[in-house]
Amino acid sequence: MTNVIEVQNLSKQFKIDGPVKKFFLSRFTNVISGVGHKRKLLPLRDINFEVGIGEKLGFIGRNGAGKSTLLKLISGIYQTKTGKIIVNGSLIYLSNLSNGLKQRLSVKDNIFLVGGIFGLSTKEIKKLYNRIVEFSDLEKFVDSKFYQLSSGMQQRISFSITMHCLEFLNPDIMLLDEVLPEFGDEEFKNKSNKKIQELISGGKTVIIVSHNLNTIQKFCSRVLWLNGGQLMKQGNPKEIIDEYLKFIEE
Amino acid sequence: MKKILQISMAMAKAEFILKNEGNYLGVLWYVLEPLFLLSIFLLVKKITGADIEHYPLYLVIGLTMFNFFRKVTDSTITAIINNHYLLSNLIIPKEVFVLSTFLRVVYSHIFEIVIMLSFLLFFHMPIWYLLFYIPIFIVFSIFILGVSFFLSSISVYINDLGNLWGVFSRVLWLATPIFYSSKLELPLNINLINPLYHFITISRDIIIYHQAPDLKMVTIVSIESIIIFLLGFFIFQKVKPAFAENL
Repeated sequence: MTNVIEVQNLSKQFKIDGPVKKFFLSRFTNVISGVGHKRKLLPLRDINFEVGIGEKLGFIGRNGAGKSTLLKLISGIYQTKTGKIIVNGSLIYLSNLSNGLKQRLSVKDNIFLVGGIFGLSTKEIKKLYNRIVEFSDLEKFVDSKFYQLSSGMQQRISFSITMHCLEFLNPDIMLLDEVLPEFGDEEFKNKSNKKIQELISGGKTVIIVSHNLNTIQKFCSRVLWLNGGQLMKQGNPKEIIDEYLKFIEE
Repeated sequence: MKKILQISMAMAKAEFILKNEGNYLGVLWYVLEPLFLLSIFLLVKKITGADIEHYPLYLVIGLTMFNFFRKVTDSTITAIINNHYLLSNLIIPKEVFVLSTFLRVVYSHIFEIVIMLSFLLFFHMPIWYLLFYIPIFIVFSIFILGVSFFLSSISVYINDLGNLWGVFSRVLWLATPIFYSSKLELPLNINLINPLYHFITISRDIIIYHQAPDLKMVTIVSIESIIIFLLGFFIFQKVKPAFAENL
């Protein structure tokens, strides 16, 4: 199998705000300068793995295990300073469905704004417009402001815009960071799951980060378990998930 | 490049709608706001511009051009910081945040040019000289974008830059002959190296006084603008990969 992603000896370090020394002078200078002491944090340590073409890979692990940091490094949002990442193909990273949406804009304007942020031209968005609105069942609300919609409606339109743009862009690799739908009524859940299934089950390479282990087991052919910034194990979804659950219980 | 412009236009359009959303007077404010400011200066004309020929036009060009510079830089200084959520959650060209803010102010600048045009008509002045504003505006935009790229990238690392720029732009507002005569002798004359002074003087010479601008001034300001743009853009390119981690 040809690899589309190769991660070699990858580590990452952040500098985050830490506790301030309790001496009076040090406190005083911090108040004046507004800058506190920084400490080093290592969210990822010496990670190695490959992803084959068309493979569906799942990342599991507790909060703070380094899953999102790893996806952001692969997508180039964060800089790689230690180790190497090779990506062959066009890539899209999704971590939130409400990216770019503005509360005080109408649903229609939001569709054009988010479509634009995804890099689509006005002409291309116009082509998708009816499908986006129909999918979300919000034909009667296109002129309403986004904040005037219920939270369920907001999630439906966000999901519909993102998925239709994604479908249109048709990237080789999709990195999905906690974006799989767990909202809406049963009808919308079924519809959105079908849409996701269509997107994922094509020949695309997909990496999914989710705390929903059923989702991971359903969509992924291999699972990587991260803990404290280190790669604990990788392999068959059922076996890795069982081991992970045992580890958490202990 | 096409993609960057496409995204910037979409974001600028949304920002423009948001800015006017819910206002009773909407886009009319783009005309009313500069008109109010102009009226104030015209009321105190005796103190500030008694000996200036065609003072209302002199004022409208100075105010319009300085306002454009101030509005763009005041907004772009926070363009990266205010969009930290998008920057750290999407693969998006970072330049779009500066460009969309710039384009949004360009929309409002068009209304100010309409005021310029109305003033020329009102005072029975030929309007076709206003066409020369197009090349001036292009070079002026290159200069402003250079400053904007510099400010937006440095402010990610130095929080105090916003405060510092606030003070600096006020000094610049007073140092540039906007509402007083450019012949006035000032204690601190920075105008020889002040690109804003050059841009405004060139525009006034052509549009109001129908004179060819000083060639030396045109050369200096064009070279200055290109250098500032290249420098600002270079710094932006150097520091942009670390934006997401530092916000």
